[in-house]
Amino acid sequence: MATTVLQSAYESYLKMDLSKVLGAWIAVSHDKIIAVGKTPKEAYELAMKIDKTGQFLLTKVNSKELELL
Amino acid sequence: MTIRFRYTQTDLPNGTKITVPKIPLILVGKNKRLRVLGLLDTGSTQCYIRKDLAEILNLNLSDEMKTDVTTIGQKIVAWETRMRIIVEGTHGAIHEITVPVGVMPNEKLDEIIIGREAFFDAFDITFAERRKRIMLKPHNIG
Repeated sequence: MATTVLQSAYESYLKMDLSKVLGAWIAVSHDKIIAVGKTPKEAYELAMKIDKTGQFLLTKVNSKELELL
Repeated sequence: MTIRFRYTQTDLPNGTKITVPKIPLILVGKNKRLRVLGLLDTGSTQCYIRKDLAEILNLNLSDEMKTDVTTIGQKIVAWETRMRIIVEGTHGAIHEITVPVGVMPNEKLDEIIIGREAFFDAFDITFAERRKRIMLKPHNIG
C-alpha cells in the first residue's frame, strides 16, 4: 500500500532507538533523525536547512510521564 | 474506513516504558504546514499548541485574540485562534478539520494537545489501551 511522507516518517519513528534524544524535539525525515533541539523551533529551523521542503515529522520525545496543563 | 495507529512508546534507561496515544497529523496554518505527532487528550476541551509552533504556522496571534486561560492553580495569558488539522487515512483519503486552538506560552506546554472540540466530532475514536492502539472512524461530514 502506498504511504505518504508523514506515514513513512511515523512508521520510522515508531521503530527508532530514541535513547539518545530523550526529552528533545526531533525532526524525522524518511527513516532518519535530521535535527534535534531543545524546542520545536530549534529543531524545525535546523531541519529546514537539511530538508527545505519542510516535509519532516516534528515531535517531542517523551522522557517522563506527561505533565499537562 | 477506520484509521489505525499505535501508541508511541519511549524506553527509558531505567527500563520504564512510556506509551502515549499520539497520532501523526498535519497542522495547517497560513501558507504553512507542520507534520507532527499530536496527543489525543479526552480530558482537554480543545486543542492547544505552543506559541513557537503557532508562529511557524503563521497563525493569527494578534492582541484581540488574547484571552485568559485558567489552568490548575494559575491564570495564563493565551491566544484563541483557529487552525486546520489533516488526518491522512488509508488509500489516500484525507480528513481535514478546522479546530479552535489555544496558543500557550512556550514554557507552559511541551506537547501538541488534540482536545475534543471539533476534532472528536469528526471521528468515532476508540482507545484500545491494552493493545496500545487508537482507531479513528471518520464521520461523513461535509
